[in-house]
Amino acid sequence: MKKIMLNGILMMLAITLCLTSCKSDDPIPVIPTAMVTLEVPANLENTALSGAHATLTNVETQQVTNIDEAKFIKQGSDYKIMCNDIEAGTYNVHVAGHLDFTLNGVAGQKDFEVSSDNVVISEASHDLKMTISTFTAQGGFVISEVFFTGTSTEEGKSYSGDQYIIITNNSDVTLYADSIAVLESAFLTTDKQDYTPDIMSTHFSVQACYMIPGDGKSVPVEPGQSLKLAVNALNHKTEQPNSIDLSDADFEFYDESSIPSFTDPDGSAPNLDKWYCYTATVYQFHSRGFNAMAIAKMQTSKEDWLENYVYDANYTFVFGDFSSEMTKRGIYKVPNEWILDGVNLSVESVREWNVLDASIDAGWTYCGKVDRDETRFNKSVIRKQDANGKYIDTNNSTNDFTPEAPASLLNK
Amino acid sequence: MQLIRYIILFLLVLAAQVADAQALTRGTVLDAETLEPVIGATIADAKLGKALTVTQADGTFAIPKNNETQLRISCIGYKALVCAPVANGRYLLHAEVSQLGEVVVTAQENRGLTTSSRIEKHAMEHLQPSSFADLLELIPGGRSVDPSLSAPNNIHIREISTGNSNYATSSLGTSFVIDGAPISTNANMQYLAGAWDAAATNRDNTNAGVDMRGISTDDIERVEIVRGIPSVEYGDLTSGLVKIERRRGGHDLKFRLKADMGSKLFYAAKDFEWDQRHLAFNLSADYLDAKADPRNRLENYKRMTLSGRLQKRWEREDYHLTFSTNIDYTRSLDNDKEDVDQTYTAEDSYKSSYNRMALLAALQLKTKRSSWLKGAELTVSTSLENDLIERTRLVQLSRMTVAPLSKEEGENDAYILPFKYVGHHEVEGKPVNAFVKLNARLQIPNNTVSNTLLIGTDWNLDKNLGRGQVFDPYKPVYTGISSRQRALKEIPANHRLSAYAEENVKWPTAIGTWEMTAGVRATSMLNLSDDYTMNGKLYWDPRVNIGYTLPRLTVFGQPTFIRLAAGIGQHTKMPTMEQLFPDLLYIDFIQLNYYHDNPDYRRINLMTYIVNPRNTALEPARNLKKELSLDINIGGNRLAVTAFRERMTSGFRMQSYYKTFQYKQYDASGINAASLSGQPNLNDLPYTLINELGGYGNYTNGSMTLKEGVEYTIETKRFPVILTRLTINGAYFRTTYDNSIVDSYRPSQVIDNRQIQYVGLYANDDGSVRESFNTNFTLDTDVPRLKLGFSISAQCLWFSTSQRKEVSNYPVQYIAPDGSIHDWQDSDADDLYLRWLVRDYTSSLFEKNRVPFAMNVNMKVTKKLFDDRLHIAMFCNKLWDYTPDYDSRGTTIRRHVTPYFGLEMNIKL
Repeated sequence: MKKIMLNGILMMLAITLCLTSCKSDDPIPVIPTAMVTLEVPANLENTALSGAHATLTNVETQQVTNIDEAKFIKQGSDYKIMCNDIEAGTYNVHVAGHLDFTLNGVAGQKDFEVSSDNVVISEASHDLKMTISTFTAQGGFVISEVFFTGTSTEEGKSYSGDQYIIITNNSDVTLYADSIAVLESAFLTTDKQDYTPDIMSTHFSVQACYMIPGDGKSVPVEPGQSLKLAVNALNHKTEQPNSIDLSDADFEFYDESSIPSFTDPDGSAPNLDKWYCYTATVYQFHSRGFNAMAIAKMQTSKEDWLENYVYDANYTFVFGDFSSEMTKRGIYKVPNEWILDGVNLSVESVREWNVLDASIDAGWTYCGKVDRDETRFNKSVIRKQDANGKYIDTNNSTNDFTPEAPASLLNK
Repeated sequence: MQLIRYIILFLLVLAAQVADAQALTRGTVLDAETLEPVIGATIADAKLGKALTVTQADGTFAIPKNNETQLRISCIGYKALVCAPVANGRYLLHAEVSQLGEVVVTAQENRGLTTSSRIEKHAMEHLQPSSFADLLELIPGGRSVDPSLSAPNNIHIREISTGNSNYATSSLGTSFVIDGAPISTNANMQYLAGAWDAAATNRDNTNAGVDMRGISTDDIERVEIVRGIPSVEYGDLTSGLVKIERRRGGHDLKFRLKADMGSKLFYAAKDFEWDQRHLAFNLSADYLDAKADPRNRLENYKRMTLSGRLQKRWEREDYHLTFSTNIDYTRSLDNDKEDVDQTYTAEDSYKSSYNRMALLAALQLKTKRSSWLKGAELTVSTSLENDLIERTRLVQLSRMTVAPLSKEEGENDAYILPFKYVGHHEVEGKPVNAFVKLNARLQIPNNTVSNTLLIGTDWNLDKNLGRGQVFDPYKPVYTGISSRQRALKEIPANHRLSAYAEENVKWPTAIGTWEMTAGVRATSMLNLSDDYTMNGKLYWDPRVNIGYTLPRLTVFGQPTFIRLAAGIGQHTKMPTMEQLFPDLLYIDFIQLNYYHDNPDYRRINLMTYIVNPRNTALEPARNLKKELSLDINIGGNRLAVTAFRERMTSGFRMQSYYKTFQYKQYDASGINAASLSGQPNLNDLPYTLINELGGYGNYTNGSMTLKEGVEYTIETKRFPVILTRLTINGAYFRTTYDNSIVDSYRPSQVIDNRQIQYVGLYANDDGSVRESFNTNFTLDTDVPRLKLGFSISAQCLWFSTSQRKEVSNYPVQYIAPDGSIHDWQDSDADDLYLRWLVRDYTSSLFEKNRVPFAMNVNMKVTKKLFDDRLHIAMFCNKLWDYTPDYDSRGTTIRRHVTPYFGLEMNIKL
């Protein structure tokens, strides 16, 4: 109320001044309230501006008008900048600031600067529109590589401790990876069953959920940067020369256990928060790639998810001369809207279906064309990149991934 | 010791034998064809029609001397003989239905009171077996199955086995007796502790009885498979008895060469017999080489047997004394190796060798004088085995893994295993068995009934002198192993002492002949410590078989004999050494799991607890058999039907239990990895005390096996023109398995970084009911003129069903981490953690699964050439089949059958 009154008084004063000046020299009209609308990319939500600053430089007089953050008024997801008592004229307008937002539910931030030169501010046109075009905030986190096969030793045995998954910030803004979970499907792509209820169009059924811990802004990932999540964040080369040094991994799938047969070494990388896992043994990815993997931004608390996001499914099981109605009890689920990216993995000779909704992944990718293909070791599935180095994400991993690609961290 | 007193009494009875001497005419009544004694034949005065006496178990009789009388000797099944008495005469009775010269290529129902199948040499020659397991096709309920020689073959009498080791008491409780000496498997501890791989677990035969692969069939003269209630002479069994008699004497030099789709067999034997000296000697050897897959040379089974058998008989006026001695050696070898070219893993191999040396000495006395003592038998047998399993694996770990080493309870540091090493694990077992059996047949002279009293005792010892599990704990093949090494010789020897008495009566009357075998056997385990329930306890096995044969009838103009029989009997099998004295379990908990880039700074600290899984309350498995049978013989065409019910409620099973253990969980998060100069010091670390439920297994008597069914055999005479005989046999079996012990289960799911901490307790888990009904129609043709025999067997399985016993998904109780037990509440099903204790069985899992009709047709041909010196045989099983597709809950099930061929050549010189 006070502010409005104050503004009113100021405005009255300005009008008075204006009228006064009109009477004297060549009249340069003063625009009492010019408005700059700062358009924020439409896909951002929960935007919050900080450290914002605008300058209007009169091209003729080189007079600079500074507008501080207080004059930035949020309107919808955009911002209006009030510029009072601006002389009509041609201006160079410059706006800079820091924007916090959420992008598909993922917290992000970006510094921005926008300029617009030779903008005419007159009585007729005193509403400017400026769009933050230095970033598009397209994309987001993607799974850029899944190395699920493990390496092979000199003796030809499989070594699975060096599995990893890489997620990359495929946008042009900094995104926070906190509370993004790595999910493994509860169903196998090699075992199609008519599960009832069929929730695939709305939810992803999972058997493992490991979440990146943080307070919301603990794990910023710069545009184009990646996080390495290792099953064991160790330098595997010391034990297995053909393997990978994963001691610099960002996070580790650590399984705490009191049973000596299931000892999981705890490397120096921070551990993922193990919300749920179907087994008390040591977790690892399916080394032939029979599951779908996904990343999701967990949008509720661990307690709430564990309590409420679980269901039972029925199906008919047939094996040999035996068929039976079965119940798969206790399947955790993650709403499809929470999912940032997902990829169906399978093997051609035994594949039966996709376990992710087609809106997340309409295709599938692989290492090894036949079951137990021993040539699959040391290979991974890697997302393709476009000419600009951006990862291609058409929600169809058949197109988006290079199957059987040499693992990117191998021989480094 | 109660039992010892009985034995002393028995010896006194033996010593008190006094022969009586009167003026008597003695004689022996024999079957004219077989020259076997005819028991219970009535000796009557032909003129007066007055019965004088009956023949005894050895066919003998004695009547007051009176040269005037004419004797009339009659017995059901024989044509009556009228003649004058002759001193010490042999009276030959001719059977009403002659079986002379009959070649039987099927199993025959025994004519005695005990329900059993007899398989003679001819049947085996026609069947062309590789091992004893192949013979089981011939007993009612049996079907031909392809030999599977890469894993142990266990016997399942009157049972549709599930293969579940918790219901293996049935095969464990089937006794194999070769020439009077039982094969003991009680001290078999050949299992690889901690093994999870199929190469090892599929070949584990501990507590499952005799592996029939090791019994070669070529020396066998006759097998009797007792499905019903055996004589009390035989003990330590629940389910059945297999009596094998091997050939003695002869003059042949024999060779046999057999090849089928999976195996090759070579057999050579030389028989010696000196008729005048009543001396016989047999030597034989065989070699079997079987492959699981003929294309894979690396997975195979080899068997070698050597046998020497000597028999000497002294025939004196008053007695015959027979001394037999055998020496047998069996070696078998299971091999499973990885192909070096395929996997580079040169070291990976599994090898299990079995070496058994068995010695037998038996003395058999048959008196010919009319005394109470009719015969006595002393059998002493011993076997020594040297068994070795060798498992070698190149172990390449995928993550830091530890080997717990401590043999003491308490805190200790675990050894961190290298990532690559060659592990070698051996299991050395040297079971030693000794068996002594002494018995006597007594006869109380009686002119109306033929009777024999059998009294006897036996003592059995099992001990294992092996080193047991032998491995370098720093290089274990199986990293999760929870047992530490223990030499098997530390386990006390199992001693079993039994005594028995059995009365055999045959009473011919005008309204038919009554027969009865009634006996009781008492068994006790010795050398058990006081805390065992079995210590000092006697287990009584009363067994009775009663038969009634109607007088001779005439049906369709044919002499007809009908016999009704019933039996009831208790059978007891003592637990094995492994069940009584299982290995100590070491339960380790990780207290600290600290990883550092420098291997020297890594530390895994454990809390070790030792659990003795010995169940001192363990008792023997006991099976109560009841049966009713009908035997009709119309002019040589025979129908035998037996209905049975066997209930064993105390079968052995391994059951899991949970209890609370406490350990410290150290918090290593405060350790500054950079500033360490050695392993972290436990004293500097904060910890929390954790209660955790740890599980362990323990043997109980919780398995119930209920066998019900009907067995039937129809044997026709050989039809004269077509020279063909029809045998129809089969069975309807219904086997019910159940568990009376509360089962426990801890879910494996991890919720919020910790495995679910609760254990559910479930009642009556693991039960099932299985049924099958089959008939084998065997047409066998014997053309003596062409020396050709062939048979066609249509083996029909009318249906088989299986049904799991319905159990609740909900536990009755659950155990919390502190060990407290709580009753299950309905609301617990919604609890974040307890909901996982609800299991996911659906009602359709408990529905009956029915597999409809299937038929296989098998063909076998034998041909003798060159004056019977060469004998060629071939078989083709499943040559033709009818296995239609069927529908199971909307899914079409297709069945496939693959034929199985074999060929063999026998040379007799």
